[in-house]
Amino acid sequence: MKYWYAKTKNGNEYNELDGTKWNEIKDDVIALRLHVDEQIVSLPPNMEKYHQAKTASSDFNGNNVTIESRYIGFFLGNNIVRVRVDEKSGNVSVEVENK
Amino acid sequence: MTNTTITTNSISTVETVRFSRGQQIDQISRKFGAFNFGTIGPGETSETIITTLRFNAAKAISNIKLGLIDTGGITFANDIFRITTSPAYDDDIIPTSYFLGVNSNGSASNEYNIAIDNLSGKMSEYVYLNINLPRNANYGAGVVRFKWFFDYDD
Repeated sequence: MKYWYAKTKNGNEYNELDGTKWNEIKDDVIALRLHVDEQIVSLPPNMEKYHQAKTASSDFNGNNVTIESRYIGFFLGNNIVRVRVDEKSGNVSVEVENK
Repeated sequence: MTNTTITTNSISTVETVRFSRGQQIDQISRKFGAFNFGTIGPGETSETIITTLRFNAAKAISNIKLGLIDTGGITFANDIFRITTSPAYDDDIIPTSYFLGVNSNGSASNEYNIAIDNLSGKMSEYVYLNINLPRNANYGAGVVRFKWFFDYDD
């Protein structure tokens, strides 16, 4: 199973599988994890702002949309720190992007 | 682990729309999943194909990139596979930049992908593509393939 898990300021817990829309809770998230099969990636708690997304690809006929990787991250000053898990290999990488 | 193919209705609505002289002819891209630039002789430049990525789901996309996946039998060199992006649709735009390499691993992080700005949360800017064939090269029935890459959250 592959999904994100989030805890919000009011103590509620959500995950991707329960139908929660990220946009509805993202501003209140205080903890974020990414579950990828047997791997669990956890970010430091109580960061100012969290972020999660999937990177997908599509050929030009649009019928073959594939998740390439998924990531969770947080904002740190002017940087976004992302921890990415490759969908095919399961390899984990860390990215820092200056915004 | 294997790649996950998204099958939910919310994201299967990714589509590439091809334009020709202002007319939408996206059935061509649906059929072939690629663009045929027509017959091009050595030293000639193909017609310009104008396309855009549309995302019809409720969520927005970001970090859009386009990769050249298959050269259709043309030996790659700089200045052959040209590309320009623009927020405007204009039949008279001729591509001036070009792909610096082939995305041989099909990866979103491939260094040869070209970043495409968003025109809206659900649509890329217009992308103008053509082929500038060298005098010593031939282009037959090969199909040139590109691939979109993008981020979305849900």
